Amino acid sequence: MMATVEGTIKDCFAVNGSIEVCSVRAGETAFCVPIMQIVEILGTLSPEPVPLAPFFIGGLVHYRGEILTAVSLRNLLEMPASKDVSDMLVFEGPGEYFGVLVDSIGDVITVRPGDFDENPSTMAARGYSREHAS
Amino acid sequence: MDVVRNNIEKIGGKVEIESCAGSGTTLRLRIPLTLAIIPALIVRSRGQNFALPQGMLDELVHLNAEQVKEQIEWLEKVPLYRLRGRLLPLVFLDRLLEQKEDAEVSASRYIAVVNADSRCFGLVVDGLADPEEIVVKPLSPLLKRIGLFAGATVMGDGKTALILDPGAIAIRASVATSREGGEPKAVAAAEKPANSEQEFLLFETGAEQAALPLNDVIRIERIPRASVEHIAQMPVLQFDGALLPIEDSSGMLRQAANDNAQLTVVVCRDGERHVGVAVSDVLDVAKGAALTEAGTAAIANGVTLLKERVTSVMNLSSIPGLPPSPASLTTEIAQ
Repeated sequence: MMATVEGTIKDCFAVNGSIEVCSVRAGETAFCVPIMQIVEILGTLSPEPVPLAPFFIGGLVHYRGEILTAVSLRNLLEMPASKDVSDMLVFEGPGEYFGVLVDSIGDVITVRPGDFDENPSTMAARGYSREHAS
Repeated sequence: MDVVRNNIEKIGGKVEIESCAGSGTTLRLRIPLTLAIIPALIVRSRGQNFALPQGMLDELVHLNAEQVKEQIEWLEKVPLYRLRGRLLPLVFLDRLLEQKEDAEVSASRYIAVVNADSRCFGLVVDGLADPEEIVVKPLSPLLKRIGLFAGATVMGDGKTALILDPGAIAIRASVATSREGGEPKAVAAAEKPANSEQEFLLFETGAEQAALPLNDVIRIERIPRASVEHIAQMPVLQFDGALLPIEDSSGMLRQAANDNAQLTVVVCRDGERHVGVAVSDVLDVAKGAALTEAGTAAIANGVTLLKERVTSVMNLSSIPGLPPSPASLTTEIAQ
């Protein structure tokens, strides 16, 4: 998925010169996701926890009559769990939809290639973030 | 094909066949559209709701805090419960799912007695909610791998709940399959008091009625009279590649109109050998009670009380065996 995100970002830059990203927050850290990737944004959810599920699963969410499996960004980043309600981004994966639970969803901002810096080398080992915008 | 029919009927469907010689066969499998809707009982464990399919639920037992301490027995750290004399292995749902301790949960428990493909066990939960008709939604492959959940559902109040898979829970908890009715040895012993309540096959030979112990009856055959052959005046029948002496003191064979007339022969076991009894009609199967002689209170042999009537029980050992025949005769019959 990371490869396609990179590819899409590059394509977009080629066409428009800028892309629109949605900013989300998990704990203290802000992240952004290109909005072309996002299917829908849902707010104030309490996902149903799934016992014995892999650590990064936040739970199940009722979405348009279906049961959606939601990944918790906090869990993925090994942050302590939070009891607050989460917001959720819905993505389309291979064959099914899935959600990503975040603490809060911020604004949509427009970024240009110049706004991007390289990852600090110490972060490279983690593997799930590619670039961070200043 | 029988397997197909059983499985389809098990889920509430039907198999229909239309066949016309020379035109072809149409097989119709009717499966209810509501297959994905199952009746379930919502159970609670550590504040979380789960759906338990009602099809596998036998009964529910409530234990208050004291009963939980007293009646749940622990054998080498394995919990057991005595349900009407039968030992039921228990599976604590909160432990199975490694749920976190919750101080708010009361000390009383419910045991859901579950029978999943003849694996019987008691699922211990904190509380029960209403039974609901739930729509089964599939889980993503990642969560299916957990193995204990058959799917998920949205309940009446909009909240999601995981559907438990009792069969998988039983296997995970190492519950063995059990036969219906508990210890088989006890059942075998119960069959021994033969004369007090035994089942008999009631039949008619000509004008009279007689009975045979049902345990001794192997088959009831309808054969054309022509199949009955004779060795030295004694009627015999070729049956399963062997020779069967036929008891025909009532003269059914003589009464048969012609060679094609159908005779009813009851094939039965008499100790080591098999014999056949020619009858005019097989009437019924009934439980017979032993009769005692008035005065002596000794059990009367050879009679039984069947359907309010004293009926004589045929003595199979009185049927003469095959006459020792010269070798030439035997080979003739074998052909």
